[in-house]
Amino acid sequence: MKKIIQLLIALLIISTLVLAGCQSAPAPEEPIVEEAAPAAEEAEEEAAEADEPEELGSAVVRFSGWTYDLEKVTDNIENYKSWVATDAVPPVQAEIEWSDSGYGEFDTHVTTTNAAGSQFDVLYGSDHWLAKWAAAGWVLPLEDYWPGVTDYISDIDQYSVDAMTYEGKLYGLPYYTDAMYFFYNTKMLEDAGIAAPPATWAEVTEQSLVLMEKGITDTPLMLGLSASSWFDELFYALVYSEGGTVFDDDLNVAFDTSSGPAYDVIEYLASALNDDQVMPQSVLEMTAVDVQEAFKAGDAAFVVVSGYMVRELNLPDISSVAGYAEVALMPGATHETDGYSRMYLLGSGAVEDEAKLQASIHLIEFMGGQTTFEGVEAYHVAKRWAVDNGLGFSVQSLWDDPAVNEAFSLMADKDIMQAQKAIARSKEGIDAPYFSEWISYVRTEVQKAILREITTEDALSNIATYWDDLKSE
Amino acid sequence: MLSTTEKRHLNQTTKLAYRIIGPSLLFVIIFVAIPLVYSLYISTQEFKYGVPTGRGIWFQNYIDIFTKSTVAPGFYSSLEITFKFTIVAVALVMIISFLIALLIEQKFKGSNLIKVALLLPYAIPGAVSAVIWNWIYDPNFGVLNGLLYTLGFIEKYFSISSNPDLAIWGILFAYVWKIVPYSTFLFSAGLSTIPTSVYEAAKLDRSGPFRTLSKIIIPMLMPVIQMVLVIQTIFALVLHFGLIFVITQGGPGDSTRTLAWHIYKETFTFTRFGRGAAMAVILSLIMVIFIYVYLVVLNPERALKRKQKRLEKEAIQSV
Repeated sequence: MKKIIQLLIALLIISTLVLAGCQSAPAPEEPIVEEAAPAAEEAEEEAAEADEPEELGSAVVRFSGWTYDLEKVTDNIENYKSWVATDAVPPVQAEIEWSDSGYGEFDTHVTTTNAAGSQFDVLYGSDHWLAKWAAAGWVLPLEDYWPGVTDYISDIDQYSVDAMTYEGKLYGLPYYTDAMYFFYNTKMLEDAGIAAPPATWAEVTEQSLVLMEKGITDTPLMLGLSASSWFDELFYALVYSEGGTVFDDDLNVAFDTSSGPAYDVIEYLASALNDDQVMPQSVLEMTAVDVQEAFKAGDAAFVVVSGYMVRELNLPDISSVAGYAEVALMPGATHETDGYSRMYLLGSGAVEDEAKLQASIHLIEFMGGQTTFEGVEAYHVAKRWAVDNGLGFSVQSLWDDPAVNEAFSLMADKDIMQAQKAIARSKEGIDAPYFSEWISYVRTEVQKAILREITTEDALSNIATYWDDLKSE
Repeated sequence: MLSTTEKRHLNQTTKLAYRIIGPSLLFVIIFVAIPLVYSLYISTQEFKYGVPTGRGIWFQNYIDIFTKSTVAPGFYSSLEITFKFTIVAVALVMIISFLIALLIEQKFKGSNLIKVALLLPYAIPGAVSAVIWNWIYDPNFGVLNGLLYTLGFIEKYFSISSNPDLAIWGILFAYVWKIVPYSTFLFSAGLSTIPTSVYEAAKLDRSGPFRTLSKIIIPMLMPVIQMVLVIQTIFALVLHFGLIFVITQGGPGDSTRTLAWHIYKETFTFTRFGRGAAMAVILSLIMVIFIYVYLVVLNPERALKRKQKRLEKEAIQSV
């Protein structure tokens, strides 16, 4: 019995294999009778064949960014993967290898990765790193590999386009763009009997002293003066607020070392810290994020923070000053501020093969551009960041979106924020590849001047000399 | 003149010795010697944005470090801070760890528990301990401020890491706390090799504790002291880096910009790999000088020879 069953199983397997291998014999070819097809139909068929996107296969894209809302980043990546496989032209089966590091260490992260011989395919970038990375060949001009990207320029704020351009070529699409804003606590001012927010830095000090005198707060003014990347945005914002200029169009030093806006700003900070003591010494270890937390905790009356941080200031669940945080134009002679851009860039690793290149370009397109996803054409990712996180954007047409308008209206006075952004200026000097090295030096020198370890004149002189030295190399 | 048998035995012993130290030697060659030589090579190369240009510039990086107006002041400043930090750190570590070793060598109830507890600072990973100390020093909610305020030593919370006069002391204190256990156990091991008969003899001679320590224990412990001094100097020159990275980032101003931090900034922030490598070579040379000085000055045999010469001189003079 056992043998019979074994025989039957063997027969079953063999017959299955035989049937699987069998193919019907091809039918004899019928003689082809050529018909004279109309020329238009032929042309249409050829065009249809050309339009059909060529299958590129699969690719693994090494995507790197800094650590911010990784849950949302992961979700965006999943959406991209389903979009790129079906709706992108040409479609690609893409997998993403994501890596991240803290924002403060991101430049180091990119530097060490590339210096070690590895590359990224797509990465976040910032306006003050672009020139260096582009000069080093770590990122590629996006418009050389995707000519259509220049169509976006007309819909993006000019300062953002400038920030993403190096040597006349567009390198990326915006991740988010923002400016530094001056915020104040309305309740503290009301309790102190102050009718309006300060319009000059001298008024900031005057009002701070009143707040301290009345026991409302010991630390009325807080600015993130830690020697980190946030310092750069703040320093430029303060200099611009007084109508200052740092470099001219030829990248020559344009500030005076013994007078003028840059000098006045550093002197003001030194005075606020040491003489009037309206600023606590702990500001030297605070970033803009720490300042935001201090404002939310009700410690400070006046802060300068990035626009995206503003969203949390008025949320009741996490801010003890919810409802009392309001924006005012940056105090100073001209009220200007620093505007900055973070962007998606094409890494040098993307050109490894065609599938990877297309997958990488599509990733930038999906993250920073306008795509049709789930039947809707929109700047999906940029809108999501704006509505959910309050991240600023430079795509002008996004302001037409009701959800975006509503989200920003809840944060603060939208009109003032828009007016402030309209007079935001991108950091002068970022076109130079040595800008990031120079600004790192500036942080230390300005801190020393604020601490009165050296004079402001010496600090500015050292800063100017350092720039000239780097430029001459 | 060695006999054939003796020569053969010596050969075999030598071969055995090389076989035993071979793996360690290989480790040192691969992870120390080769990187050092490569660093020397990099220090003579030109780099632009982290990419070698292929152009050798010989000792230009070294010349820039010592003479260029935009480089030299920062280098000398970091050198000064490093020397001050190292001298104070080594002194504190040596004294504190020696005293603790003396204490734990006394047999009393709970001495073994103290020995285990002492290991804790060293067992905590460097980055973790740096974060812990950053929290301890926090000017808003730090334990240090809370304790001092509660005990009435301060009227207002203050900042350590943003105070240029206090920041380096904050780093120093955190560093000493972390590194003391290592030396303590080395001293403890050294003390345990001193026979009890020595202490008994000292007692019989009515030698007081201080005299016993200075005339008997310390001289007998000199090889261990020498070794600990060398190790602690090397540690102090570089191992504080994690603390600076987390707590002060070289600031405020440049008050905690030690040479180790300076090398990191030059290499990884400014992507000046050549100049960073040159500074690292200079730091290595500084270590070598320190070690040489210790080995020569603290050499027990040399000390003994000096003592003999002095005694001979005194004997001749007395005649």
